[in-house]
Amino acid sequence: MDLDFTPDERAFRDEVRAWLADHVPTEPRPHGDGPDSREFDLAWQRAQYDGGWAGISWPAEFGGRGLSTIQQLIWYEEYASADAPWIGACFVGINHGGPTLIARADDEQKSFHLPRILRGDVVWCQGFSEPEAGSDLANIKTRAVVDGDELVVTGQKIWTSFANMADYQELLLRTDPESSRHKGLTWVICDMSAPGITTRPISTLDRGAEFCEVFYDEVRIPISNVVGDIGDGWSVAMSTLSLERGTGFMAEIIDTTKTIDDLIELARHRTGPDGRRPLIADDEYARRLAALKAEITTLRSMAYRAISRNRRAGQPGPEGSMLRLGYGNLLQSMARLAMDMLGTDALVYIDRFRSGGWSGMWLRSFASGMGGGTFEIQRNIIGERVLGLPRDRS
Amino acid sequence: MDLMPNGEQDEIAATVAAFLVDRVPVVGRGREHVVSGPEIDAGIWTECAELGWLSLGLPESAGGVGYSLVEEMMLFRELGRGVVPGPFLPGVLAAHLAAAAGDLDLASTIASGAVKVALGTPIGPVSIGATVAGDLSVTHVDDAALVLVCDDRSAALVSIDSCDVDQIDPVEGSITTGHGRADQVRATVHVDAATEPIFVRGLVLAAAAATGVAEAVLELAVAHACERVQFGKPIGTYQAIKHRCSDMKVGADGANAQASYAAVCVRDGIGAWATEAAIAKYVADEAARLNCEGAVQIHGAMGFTSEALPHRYVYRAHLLGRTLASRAALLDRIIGRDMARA
Repeated sequence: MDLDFTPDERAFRDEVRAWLADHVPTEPRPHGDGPDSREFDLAWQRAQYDGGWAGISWPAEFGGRGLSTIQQLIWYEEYASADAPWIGACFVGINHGGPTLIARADDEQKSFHLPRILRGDVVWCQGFSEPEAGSDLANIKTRAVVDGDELVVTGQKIWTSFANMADYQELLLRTDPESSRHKGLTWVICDMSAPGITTRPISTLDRGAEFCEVFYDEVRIPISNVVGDIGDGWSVAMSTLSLERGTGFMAEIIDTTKTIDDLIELARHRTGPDGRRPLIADDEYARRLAALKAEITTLRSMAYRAISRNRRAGQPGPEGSMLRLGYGNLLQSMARLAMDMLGTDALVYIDRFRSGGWSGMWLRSFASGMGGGTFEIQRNIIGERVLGLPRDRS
Repeated sequence: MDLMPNGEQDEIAATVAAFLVDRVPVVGRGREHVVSGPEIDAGIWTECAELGWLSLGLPESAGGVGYSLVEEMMLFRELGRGVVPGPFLPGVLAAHLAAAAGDLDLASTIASGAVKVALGTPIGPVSIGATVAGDLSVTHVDDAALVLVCDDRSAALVSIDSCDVDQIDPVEGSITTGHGRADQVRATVHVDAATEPIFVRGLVLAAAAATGVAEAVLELAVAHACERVQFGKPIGTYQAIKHRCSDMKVGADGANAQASYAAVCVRDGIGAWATEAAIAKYVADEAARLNCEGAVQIHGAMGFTSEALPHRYVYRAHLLGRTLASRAALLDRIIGRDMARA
């Protein structure tokens, strides 16, 4: 057991730090999720590409940087320390669609799409969830009928972040009408400009506008866009894990550690409930802040352990759900504490990307119980796949 | 960077676990809530000492095995899992203290198990140095010759006879406990924290023991949830039970990860190592308490008996949460707000 980095790894950290110091955008990400934020996200992706830092977990043969697990960890630690931007609209392409293509696509699909994703030419979105297929993802009903060399798609997807600004979508469809559950699904690359696609933004309780519904009315997609085999979509959708080592999580943990430090700083300067002394002099606030600091520090240790374990195993196990659950709970209790500390000053809405955006952060924190699988699904995974408790579903 | 144990470290833990299952199995106490007779069997104590458990992290130059705080941490996790009695925590710390103070004879005598040491947790302000003065909560009183007293500034060993210990009827009935008072007692040996951070070492080892408690009591709960059938299904099928077990697992894994991280930081002098240790103790105590509460509840009425095993862990978690530093004191250290000195 050690926390040592080799001389090569330390030199790598210096290299990363120097590059980020020179290239991280100084202006904040534009408010809202319109064309400005698309351009901002793509420009930052392009800057990383030009600097040789795009696709850090992607193998070099596909244009990525092919960093080792430890180098990825260093990259994300430095990325967060440098206040580099949230990945935003580039998330699905870089972290989900791209890795799935690398794992399962044919050469033509790879050579067309992978460079475009890396260069920040295109935005991808994810078309998995449906109104009847949320936590129960295998209940997908959007259907595709083979017609010659095309699939004809009819149905609806929902909770699709950035669908209104995306060029492509990773789309999971039911191609076998007789099938059920995980069988008979197909993973396909959908061109979002195809006729018959309508997107409708869904506004969220934190005033975000990235969420969308997507409707498909006899949308024609070439069969050559199918990745893997027709009917094998579930396994293709799961293959994204092949490049995942859990290192990206370190950036979130460092960001949140800094946010908690900001909150502690705020408590040193804001007057507390007695109207005289600072908040930090109040036992309740001081200890709630201390508990938060203890929890984020512990999550960092859990992430280091998970990364160490994933590196040995070559892929992540179900333990990742423990980090997701612990981190989601922490975000919510942190936001709640900020609201308590601010009293009536918490009544003003401030966007979470702006300084003092505590109310925006609090509103956003409700989403941490849903994104990437609800708390309840994470607890099922931990209970069944980590602890071995009996299942109660098909 | 690798925060998982290496092969040798895993082997140490496996050897300890196998010995404990064989020689000191966890049993329900029935009506015998409080141990009568010695706290730990003399033969087993000597065997443990001969296996090097009291000198695992002591340098070979001081007669130790030559491992580090990391291996000690893994040992104490097993001792916690096995709710083992016996003065292991003060023994290990006292051997380090004596060695750091240059008294190698005393270090090796303590490490051999020949002299037992009790642990004195300060009650209110206690001055610790060449002389020791103040009120103490003393654990592992049975058969002890010395008492280890420490805080974040220094550590000292004093004769137990000079501490005027009154034994109490302890909630954790397998650990002999009392109240003591040192009235300007001359220390046998003492050392300041800058020379050897005995208190911080103690936080890491107590955290490891609490981690073991949190893990073992969760395993009891999971085993019961898989076995116990109600409404036609094992109760672990139901999300009310399953999800509570999942939360307990997150707590236990967090405690283990933080104890590991803190042990490495203290061993190698990395970062804010003293704060890392305080965090390890706080999260492990929380996990142990929450997991004990969860395990009793999941066992239902059986969990309220002293025939099922969870009660053993309830008692141990209760004691560990009051060993070396309380929850409030740990939180104040973590946020850098030391009330005692304000």
